[in-house]
Amino acid sequence: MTTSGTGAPLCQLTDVKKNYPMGDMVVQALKGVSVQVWPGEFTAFAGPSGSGKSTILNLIGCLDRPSEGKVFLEGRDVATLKDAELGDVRARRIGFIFQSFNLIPVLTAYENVELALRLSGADLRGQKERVEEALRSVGLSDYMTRRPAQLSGGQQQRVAIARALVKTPALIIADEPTANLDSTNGAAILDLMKAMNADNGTTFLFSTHDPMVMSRARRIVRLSDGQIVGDETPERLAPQEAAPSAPVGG
Amino acid sequence: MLILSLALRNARRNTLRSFLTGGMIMFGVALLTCGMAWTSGAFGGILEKASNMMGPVRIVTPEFARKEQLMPLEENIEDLAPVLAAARAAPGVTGAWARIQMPVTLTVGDDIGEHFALVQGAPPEWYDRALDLAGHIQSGRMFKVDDEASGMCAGGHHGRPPIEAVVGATAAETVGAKLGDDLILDGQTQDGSISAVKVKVVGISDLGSSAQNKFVYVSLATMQCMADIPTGATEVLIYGKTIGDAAAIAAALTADPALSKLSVSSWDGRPPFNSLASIIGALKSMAAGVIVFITALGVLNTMLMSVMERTAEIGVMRAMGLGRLQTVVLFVVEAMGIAAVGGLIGATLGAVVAYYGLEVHGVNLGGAVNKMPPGLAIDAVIHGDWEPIMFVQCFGLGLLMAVVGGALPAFRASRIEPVEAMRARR
Repeated sequence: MTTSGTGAPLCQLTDVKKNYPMGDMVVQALKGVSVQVWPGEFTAFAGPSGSGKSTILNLIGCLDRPSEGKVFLEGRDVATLKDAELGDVRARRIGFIFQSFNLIPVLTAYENVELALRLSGADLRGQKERVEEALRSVGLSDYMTRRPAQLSGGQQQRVAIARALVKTPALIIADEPTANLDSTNGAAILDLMKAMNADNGTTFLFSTHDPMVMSRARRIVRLSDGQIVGDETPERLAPQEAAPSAPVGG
Repeated sequence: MLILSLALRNARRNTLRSFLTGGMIMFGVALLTCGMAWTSGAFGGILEKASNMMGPVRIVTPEFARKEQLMPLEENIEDLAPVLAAARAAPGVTGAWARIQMPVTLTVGDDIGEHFALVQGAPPEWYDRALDLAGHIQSGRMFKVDDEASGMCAGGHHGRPPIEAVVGATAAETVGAKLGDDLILDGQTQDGSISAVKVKVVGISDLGSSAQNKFVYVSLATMQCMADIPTGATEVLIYGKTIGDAAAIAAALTADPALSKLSVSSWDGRPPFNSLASIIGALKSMAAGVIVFITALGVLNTMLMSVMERTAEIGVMRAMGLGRLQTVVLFVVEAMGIAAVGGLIGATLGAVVAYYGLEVHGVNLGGAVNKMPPGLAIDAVIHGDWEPIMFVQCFGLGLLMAVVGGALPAFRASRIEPVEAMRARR
């Protein structure tokens, strides 16, 4: 496997395998995957259900550990980190956007974003401004005091994006971020994420099997049956705009 | 603060469940309050009354102490004067008096006595201090003391005034004695000879307890004469301001060389008190423990359901960096929030019931108290004793219920791995 690009990769998976026990059997979710992600990428991990795309994102997001192989995030071997250190990395360096939004229902939009900032251990000074700015950037200045149940699906996902963005993470991981939205809202959310990527240079990794979503990605890593079967930079992107890519791995 | 605020808001998410859990805590705390007030009143009253009756501090001969169940008259303090003087000189002592008790048979008129009773002889001052006997005369009056008549056991003869006695209501009823009747007490002297004294019933007392109402009360001189212990007594009973002073007084008297050959003890060092106080303490703790445990089970059930329902949510927060300790705090504070409301209402409700129901009105035990052994003077109506500190204690125990019941679910929540939670969601 070879990679190209400038500087160090944001994360790197080397011959990663992930097994899950299921009763008496062991299911191999990843069968030796190698891939590198560089800062500033806007990359889709695509594939059918059960292909291993969510497993890859969980490993990169420090939510899980590999059964075999190495996962490096910003140069640190994730497998060597203790639980508390993993929690710290997640809180400070990674933002998450989930398919089901997963906002805390008893907190307002403002408080949901504030909670993420608090958990990241950010300086208390200027928190209010940062939370308001995050919500303003996703177009929800007028909805700060509303609870999730008072917001539409698209608005809830915008809150989730603000929640992920507010701590200015190195990486945002989005697990099928548009799966629960209609096409109009889904496209709007993707455009918003792409704008954040372009404006702030935040790296976005997301899983999807939706062609509309893939069409907006700068890099598409295709998975099937726990292996990478394609790593593409769409032709419509200019070469300098495309992220550095790796050949098919695992 | 946001975590605490979140915890308290979570407590309102499922209002019916929180209401039922809060209600359970409210009931538990109210029950605790009433239980504490009642046991405090009942046992506290029993202990105070019994220790007053038996002497907060007592001086006897060592032989008497060993055989006191037999009331051995021969094991007496022969010369009371120096013992009483030493006792009254001790710091904190407000009074010291001698007493003699013995079992007797009672006879009224020609009816040969077959009724057993206990007769007690002590100075009138002791009756005032220990029993408030004069204040509990149901009919008639307190006896008067004629030392000459009493001292010769010859009241009513040769022109002397009769020896007077107050008879407990139960004893009077049993033997059929009425005011003005002559009552013959058949007992014995210290060397075992039969000794009989005729007394006139001048008062019938009701001290509120079956045990005390079985006594016949006479003067010390009468008993000295009857037992043939002219200058002595079997016991010297010593009092401080409260029974709480007993230990210090006993320690001072034990150190007095003048009393070195005698046995000095405070009430809580003598049977049945020595074991009773610890048994009462253990019973109270056990009862409180059972209530806390049962209520905590209810909280445990509620919080486990909450954890299961919110697995994905906890996973998301754990993914965002919520630590294990913060997760524990989140759920324990939620349980405490519910407990605080339930506990506050429960402690208030309990205080009202404990004060007006138990302390003011009391609980009538009826005939059950007649089965109690002598010495455990239990009133037929037991009054609770509610104190403001119990509000704080029971409210605190309510919070403890929440901590005990919420700890396991909280710990379980803290073990949730984000990835497992999210996989379960999918």
